[in-house]
Amino acid sequence: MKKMLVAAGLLVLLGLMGACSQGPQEDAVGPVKQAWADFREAYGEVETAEEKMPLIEAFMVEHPNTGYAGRLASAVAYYQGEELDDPAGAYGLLADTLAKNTDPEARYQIGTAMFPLAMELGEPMDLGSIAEELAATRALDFNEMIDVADLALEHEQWEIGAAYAEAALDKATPEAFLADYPDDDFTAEEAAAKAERRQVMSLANLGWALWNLEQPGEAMAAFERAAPLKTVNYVGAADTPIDYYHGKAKLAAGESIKAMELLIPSAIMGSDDEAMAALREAYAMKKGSEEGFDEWMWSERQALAKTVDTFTLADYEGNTHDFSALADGKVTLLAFWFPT
Amino acid sequence: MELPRLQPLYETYKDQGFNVVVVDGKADTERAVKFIEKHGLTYTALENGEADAEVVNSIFGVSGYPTSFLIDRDGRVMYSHLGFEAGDEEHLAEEIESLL
Repeated sequence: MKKMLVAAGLLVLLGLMGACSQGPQEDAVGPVKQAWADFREAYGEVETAEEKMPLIEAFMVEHPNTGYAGRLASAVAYYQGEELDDPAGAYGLLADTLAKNTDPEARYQIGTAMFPLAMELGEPMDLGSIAEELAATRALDFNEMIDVADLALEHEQWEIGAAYAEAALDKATPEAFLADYPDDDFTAEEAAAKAERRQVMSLANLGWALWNLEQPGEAMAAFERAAPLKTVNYVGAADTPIDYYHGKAKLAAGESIKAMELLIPSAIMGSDDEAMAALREAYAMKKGSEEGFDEWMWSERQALAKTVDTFTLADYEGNTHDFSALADGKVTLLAFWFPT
Repeated sequence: MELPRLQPLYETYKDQGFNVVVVDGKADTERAVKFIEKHGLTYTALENGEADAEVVNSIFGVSGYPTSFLIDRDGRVMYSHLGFEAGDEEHLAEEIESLL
C-alpha cells in the first residue's frame, strides 16, 4: 500500500540521519567510521537517485558487514528499486550484502528492505527467520512487529502476519508505548491515544490475516474491536488500513453495501488506489456492473466534501497569514510536511 | 518529503487560479528555511503553531507526513493524499485541472 511506501521513505531518512544504534562491527574511531563520514559528506552534496546510488553501492560493497550497511538498505530499495525502477539491481545488491553481514540488527534492516523486492521478483525469502534472528538478541519493539506484519500481509504470508500482528497487539498499551520512547515526555493522555492507534493497527492486520486464514468469525471480531478506536483525518479517511481491510473482508463475504460504506472515505476522499479498486468491485457487485461508477463516485465526493476551516499561522519572516485569504476563490493545495 | 515536486505544479497552474500553501508540522524553522531556499520554493510556507495555535493535528487530524488536501474554489476539501512519491504529480495535476 502507499502508506508503506511512505513508511519506507521515512526509514530511508531515519537510517541516513543515523538514528539507529551502532552495530558490533562499527569501530568507534577506525577506518569504517571515517568511510561512513566521507560517504555522508558526499551524499549530502547530491540530490538525485542517479547520483545517490553509486555512492550507496560503493559503500555497501566495500563495507557489507557493518551496521551502516543496514542503515542504507531501505535507501537501496527506494532509490534503486523504485526511483530508478531497477528492482533486480536493488535485490542483487541487498542479497549480496545480506550474505556477508552477521549483525542481526543490520540483517533485519537489510532483510525487511529486501523482502518486497524478493516477492516482486519471485525469489524465495523467509521473512520470519530474519525477524526471529533479531528477536533472539533482544525484544522487538512495536514498530518492528507491525512492520513485519505489514510486509507479510502485503505479500500474502498470512501465518507470519497473524503472529506478528498478535505480538504487536500485546504492545498496544500506554505502558508499552512509553517503554518504547523512554527519552520522550508524553502525557498520560497522549500515551493512551498512541496505544489506541497501536490497537487499531494491530487489529486491522490481525483481522485481515485471520480472514485469509479462513477464520471469519475471529477476523470480524478483530475488525469490530478496532472500529470504535480508529481515527480519521479531516475528510474522514482512516490513517490506518482498518477500513480497507474490513471493507475487503465484507466484499469477500458478499456484503457489498457494508463494504462500500467502509471503503468510500479512503477511496474517494483519501485517494487510496487499492481502496478505490475494492470500491469499484463492491459497486459492481451491488449494481451488477461497473457502469456509472465514475459519475457516482464524483457525486459522492461532492456530497462528502466539507468546507475547510480557516486558521492563522506565521511564515518564516514573521508575517501572519489567514488561510481563508490565501485560498480565497482559488484551487488550493494545502500540504503538511516537515524538513529533513 | 519531496516538497520541490510541488513547485512545477505551482508554476504551471498559478496563473489559472491555483495556489500552494505548505505548513511545517514540526516547526523546525532552521531546517525548513534552509530547505526552502536550497530548492527555490516560491509558494507560501507557514509554520505550525503551539498549544491553541496548533492546527496540523487539532484541525486536520494529520498523523503522517506528507499529507496534502486539495481544496476547490468554494473552499471545499475534495481530496486528501498521504505521501508524495514519484509519479504522484500526474495524478495531482489531473485533480487540479478537474477543479480549475
